[in-house]
Amino acid sequence: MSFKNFLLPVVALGFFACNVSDPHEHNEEELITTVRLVYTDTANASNADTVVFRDADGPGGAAPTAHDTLRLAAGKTYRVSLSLLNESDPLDVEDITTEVEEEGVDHQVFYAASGVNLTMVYADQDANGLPLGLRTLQTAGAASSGTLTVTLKHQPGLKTAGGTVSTGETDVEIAFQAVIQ
Amino acid sequence: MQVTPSFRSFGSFRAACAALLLSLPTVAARAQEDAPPDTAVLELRESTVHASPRPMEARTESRLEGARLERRLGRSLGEALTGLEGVALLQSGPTIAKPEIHGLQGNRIQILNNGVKLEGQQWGSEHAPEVDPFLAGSMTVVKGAAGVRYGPEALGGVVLVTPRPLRASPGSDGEWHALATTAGYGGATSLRYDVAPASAPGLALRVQGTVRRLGDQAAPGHNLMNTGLAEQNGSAAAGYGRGDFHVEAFYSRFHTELGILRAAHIGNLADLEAALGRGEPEETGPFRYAIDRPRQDVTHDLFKLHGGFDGGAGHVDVTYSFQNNDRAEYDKDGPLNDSLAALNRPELRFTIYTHQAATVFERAARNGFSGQYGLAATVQGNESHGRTFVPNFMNFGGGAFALERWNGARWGAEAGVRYDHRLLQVYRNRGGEVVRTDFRDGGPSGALGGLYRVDSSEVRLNLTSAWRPPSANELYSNGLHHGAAAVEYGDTTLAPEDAYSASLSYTRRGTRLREVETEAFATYIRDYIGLIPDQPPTLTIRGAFPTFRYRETDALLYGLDLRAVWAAAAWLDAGTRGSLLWTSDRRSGAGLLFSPAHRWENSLTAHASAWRALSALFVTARVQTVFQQGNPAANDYAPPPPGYSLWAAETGFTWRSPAGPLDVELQGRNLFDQAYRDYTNRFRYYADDPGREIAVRVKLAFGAAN
Repeated sequence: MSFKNFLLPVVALGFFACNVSDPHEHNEEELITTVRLVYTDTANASNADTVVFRDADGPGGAAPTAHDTLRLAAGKTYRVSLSLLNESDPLDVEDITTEVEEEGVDHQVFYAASGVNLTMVYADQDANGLPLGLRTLQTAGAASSGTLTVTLKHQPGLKTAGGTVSTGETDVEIAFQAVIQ
Repeated sequence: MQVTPSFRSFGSFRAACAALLLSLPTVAARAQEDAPPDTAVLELRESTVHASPRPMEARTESRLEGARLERRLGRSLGEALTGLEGVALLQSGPTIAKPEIHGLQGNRIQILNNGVKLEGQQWGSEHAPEVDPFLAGSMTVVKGAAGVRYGPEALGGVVLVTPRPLRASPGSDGEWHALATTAGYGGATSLRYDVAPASAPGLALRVQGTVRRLGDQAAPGHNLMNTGLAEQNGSAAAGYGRGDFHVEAFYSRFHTELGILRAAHIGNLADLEAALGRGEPEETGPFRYAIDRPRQDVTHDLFKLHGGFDGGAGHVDVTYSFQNNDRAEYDKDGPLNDSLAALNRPELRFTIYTHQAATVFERAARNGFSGQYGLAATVQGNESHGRTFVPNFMNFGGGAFALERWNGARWGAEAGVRYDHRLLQVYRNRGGEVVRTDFRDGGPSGALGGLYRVDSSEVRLNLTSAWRPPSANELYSNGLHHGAAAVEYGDTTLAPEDAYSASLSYTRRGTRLREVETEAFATYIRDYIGLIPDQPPTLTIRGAFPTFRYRETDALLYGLDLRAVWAAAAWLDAGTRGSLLWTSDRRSGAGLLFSPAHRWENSLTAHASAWRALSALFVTARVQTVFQQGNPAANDYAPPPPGYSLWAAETGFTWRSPAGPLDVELQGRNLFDQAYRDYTNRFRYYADDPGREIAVRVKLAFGAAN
């Protein structure tokens, strides 16, 4: 605040009158409501699966409307791309993936499989040559089931080659049910 | 009752009530606690100038003024108030501190700034009161339910911040204060100037201003990243009195920008668990003055008009006030989108304005009987922007009270009743359509008190009640509480809280055992609104969060406050003070959220009245022990931290400089750089409390005394 503002005269107070009886709609500026993972078989592009988590009104409020189960075929390797969307306004869906990509040096996506026979390697890099995780290659092993936890970490000034899922602040964390048949 | 013209004070009727205690002999000793006798006597003389003989109140108050108050200036209001037993701090890191009275805070205690009920977003545990402590000539705390005099929300107690009176005689005077500290390598400075021109009899003017600036604070061994603050406050007052009539106008602005420990903003529960396992924050960084995200920027304006008239039948006071509070909160990370980020808008913003009008008639005493009767009204509007946490609302309140007193030679009694009504209109946007929901609540408050005094001792017994309607956040919270790692849900069916307090106090003064002040108290709150853990956890895009709902329960709080000063020798005082507090949720047996642990402080003060050109010399050593919280709140993320002891020392003197008396004081806190975490610091999950601090404080009083 400038010194001039500080000296705002008393009379100005009367004009602070606000619009109490006309509230805006929920207007968080940037909300990630949706996580979408697209799995495409590297050997056969028509063999694909998409899983979505969607909570259009953000944390709290109404329960998430989509929380899919991932189904993969044993022995296949998939090209996986991750998208982050703001679908709070259905008429104006924003893709936040590119923003994360631009700030790749401060972000990393981690994939942790539990119970399910799934391994992954990063297929993209940030400007510093460190893994980012918006694009990965994932290989389904023997038939099994469990969960795949996808975590987007914000690691401003903290991102290193040795960074783990507990470094920095969590922007997204979803556990998808995963089945390999 | 006879009200002398000297009662034409700067404050409102409440200030007058606070000034009342000054006429009592006990208070003479009260000012002395840690102060060497010389300064205490000096203050007493100063004080009696504007104290008038009035009937005694049965209500128990604790008061901080004179040297005891000045030594605590330059820091936050909450920190100043911890000079009183029974007051603890609810902190959110080193920059945000709220006073807690007997374990209650926020909407359950009422802060009066210069007689005006402070109205901001007091529900938030990370929202510090918007008051400049340098405004205060005295600070008074009323512990326990005080609904009759102060209305709903004075359920757990009241803090009165009362400026000193404007000049009654022609002339000018002022004070300059400064504090320089190693905690944040900054400090505070404040200037007050009062003038009453001889050419305009009856007119008195004041200007006052304060600047505070601190960089990052440090815990033992590491920097606390982004814990600086910048605060600028100013006020002006004008009073005019003629015969039995006086008017005053007062305006103040409080503006603060404060950094929030970066480590304390976390993404989800896993982040919190990682922070708990770390011991030291992930990001510490070098010392900086910059205040970055996450941060708060708060501006509070207060305007007050006050008039009074002394007639044969008694005294009438009328007060109108307007306040505007603008609070902007910035998350740790701005938007990813560049154009949105460039706007740098707060993720959360509240503006709340409040009009208040009050009138009080004090009936003149006859045959030992006196009385007070009052009316009060409030209109308030709140608007939220950004992330919806609390909805928009209008709040209309009105109340009336009557208080009767009787004072005999040794015995005194008082009884009072009050009724308040509130209409809360909540406006919400449901898919483009505005929905209004009305909440009407009303309730009585009562007070019954008695006192008995003999020689230098006094016993007071008080039975009081107060109520509080649920606030908008308790009704409508719905979402993720950032930094608390919890999803919180309000409940629109909540009923008001009703509190009943009992307190028994004993005070005594003497020559050797100079002072004893003790108070045993108990408060029972029916339908206490608490955040109660619920199942299942809430699934969000950031993982699963624990779910909390505002629910009704019953609460019991009881304890003991004690203070004693013993003159071990003519030059040596030994002091002890402590607060014991037990709280419980009667339905679960767990403690209440944010209940301070038992604490005890012992001190030794050596003093000398004069040495060469110096006077009022003293040196004090003190040790404060805070115990581990024995009955923590349910479902805490971490067990209560262990107890700790902190050593502190102060030394100072007064020099009669050509410009006026100059007080100089050197303060050392946490002398042994002890690493510790306090149970009522919400950031104890993330980092240690600050380490050693050395500070220098000066005060220069100039001009002709009033």
